[in-house]
Amino acid sequence: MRLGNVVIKVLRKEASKRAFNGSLLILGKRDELCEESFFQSLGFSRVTHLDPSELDLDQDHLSQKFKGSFDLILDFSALEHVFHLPNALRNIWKMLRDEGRIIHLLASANHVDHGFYMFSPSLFWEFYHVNQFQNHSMQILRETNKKRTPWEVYDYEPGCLGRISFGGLDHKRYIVSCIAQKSSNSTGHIIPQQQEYEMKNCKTVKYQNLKRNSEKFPKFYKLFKGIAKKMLMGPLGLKLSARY
Amino acid sequence: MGIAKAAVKLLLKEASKRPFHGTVLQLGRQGVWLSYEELQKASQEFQVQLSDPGDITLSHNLLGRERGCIDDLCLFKSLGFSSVKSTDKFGYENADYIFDLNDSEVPKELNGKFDMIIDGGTLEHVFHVPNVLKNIHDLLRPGGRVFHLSPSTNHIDHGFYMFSPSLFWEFYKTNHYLIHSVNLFRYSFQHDILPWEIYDYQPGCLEKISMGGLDNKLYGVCCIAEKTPLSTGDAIPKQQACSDTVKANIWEKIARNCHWIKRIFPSFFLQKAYGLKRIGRY
Repeated sequence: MRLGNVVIKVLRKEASKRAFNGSLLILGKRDELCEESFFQSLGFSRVTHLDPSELDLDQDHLSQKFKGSFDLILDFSALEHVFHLPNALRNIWKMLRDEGRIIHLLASANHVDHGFYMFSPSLFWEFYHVNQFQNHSMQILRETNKKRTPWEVYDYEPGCLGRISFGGLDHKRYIVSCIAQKSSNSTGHIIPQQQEYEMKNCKTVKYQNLKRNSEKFPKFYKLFKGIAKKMLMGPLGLKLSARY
Repeated sequence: MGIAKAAVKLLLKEASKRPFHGTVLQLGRQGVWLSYEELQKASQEFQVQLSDPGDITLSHNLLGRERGCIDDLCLFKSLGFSSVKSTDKFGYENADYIFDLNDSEVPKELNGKFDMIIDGGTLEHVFHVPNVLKNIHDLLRPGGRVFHLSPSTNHIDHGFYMFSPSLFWEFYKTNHYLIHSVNLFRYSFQHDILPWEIYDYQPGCLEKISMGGLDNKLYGVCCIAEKTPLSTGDAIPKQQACSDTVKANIWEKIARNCHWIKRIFPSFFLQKAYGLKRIGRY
C-alpha cells in the first residue's frame, strides 16, 4: 500500500485522540502526499508544504518567519536526507508552538542508500525523553506486500527490540513513526545517551511457555523454534496493534 | 561490533596497498575475534609482512580469551603501528583518553596527533554524528586515515542510527578527503566465524534496491578515507539525486516479479540484477 495512505491513517488516529487546529507544516516530497483539502478537513486552517531544498534544516540559524509558528509539523521522509540531524531536530523544536506536535514518519531498516541514515526508534525515544517533550508514542511499521495489503503496526517500548537488534529482521521494509508534543519547558539541544534497556514485558505468556517446553524437548524445540516463534509472535516478536 | 576476522582482512587489504605506521587511535576499545595464527594466515593471503608485536597478549574479553583471541594492542602492533591508543566516554575499559565524542571540540593536546583512527562500531551509538566526524578530522594529521566499520540495515535498535554508504561517500567527498574504498558487506549473525561477502560501492549503485530490496542478512558499511592538507571537517554534504536510469536487464525483471527466486539466490541477484561488484568473501 502506498505510504500516503499510511500518513492519512496516522493523522486520523492522532486527531481522534486530540483534535487538530491551527497551522500545519509538511516537510517532505510533494508528489507522494494527498491533497490539501484532506488536511483542511482535519481542522487545519493553514497548510504549508516545504521541500527539503526550500528549507535548509542543516543550518544552525532559522529564519524569523518560521519560529514558533506551527501547531503540527509532519516530517514525512525528510529527516533521513538531512546530514546534520541535531540541527534539524533543534530547528523543528524552534518551529513548533508550545503544545504543538511533531509527527515523524521515517525510514528504518532496509532502506540502504535511500537517505543518509536509517533510524532506530530509540533515537527519537531518547531525544524526546531528555528534551522533555510530552505524550510521545512510537510505532514501528512493517510493509507486508507491495500495493495490496496494509502496513502492520507495532507499538514500540524502549528495549522491546533488544532480542532482534542484531539481524533479527526479515526482508521487508520498516518505517519508524514518532509523535511527540512540545511543552513550555521543552528544550531542543540536550544530547541523549543510548541506554541499555533490559527487555521489558514483550515476551508474552505463550513465548514463555514455549521456552519452558524447550527444556523438556530440546531437539523438538530446536527443529521448530524458528517456525513456532514466528507463528506465535509475528516477525518482530511484538503484539500487532493495528493495520494501516 | 568488534573486529572480526573479515574486518582484519579489510585492514590487511588496505595495508597491502599503503602500509601502516605511527599512532593509531581506537574510538572505544575494540574486541578482536581472531587468534594470532589466523592473523598470520590472513597476512600471507594479502602478502603483508607483520611486524613483531612484542609478546602476544590475549583478549580481555572472557569469551575471546577462551578461544585464544588476541587483544587490540597485539593486533595493531602486528599490523605495523608503533603505538596504540584508545578513547572512550567512560573509564571502565581502561581507555587512554576520556572525552565525549558528542562535544564540539577535542582536547587541544590531541589535535592532529594520529595516523589512523579506527571506528569499529562506535559512530552509531553517538547522537551527534556531525560532531564525531569533525572530531575525527581534528584528531587526524594530514595524510592520516580513518577506518569506519558501521552497521547498515537490519541493526534496528542496535545503535541510534543505521548508515547508508552514501553518508560516508558524500561527507568525505564534500570535505576533500581521498576516498580509498567504500564497501558494503553482507554477513550473518555469527559474524566472527562465517565469512563476509564484500561488495564494492559506487554512488547510485544501490538506487534500485533502496526501498526494501535487501534480504534478511545483516549489512554493514566499511569506509577508508585519507585526510589531505586541503581537507575540512565541517562542510555539510547534500544528498545527490542519481537520475541515470539504466534499462532493466532480464535478471532484474525476474527479481522484480518472482521475489522467492531472489530470496533463494540473494548474492547472485545482487550482482547480476543490480550490478554490484563483489570483491570477495573474507
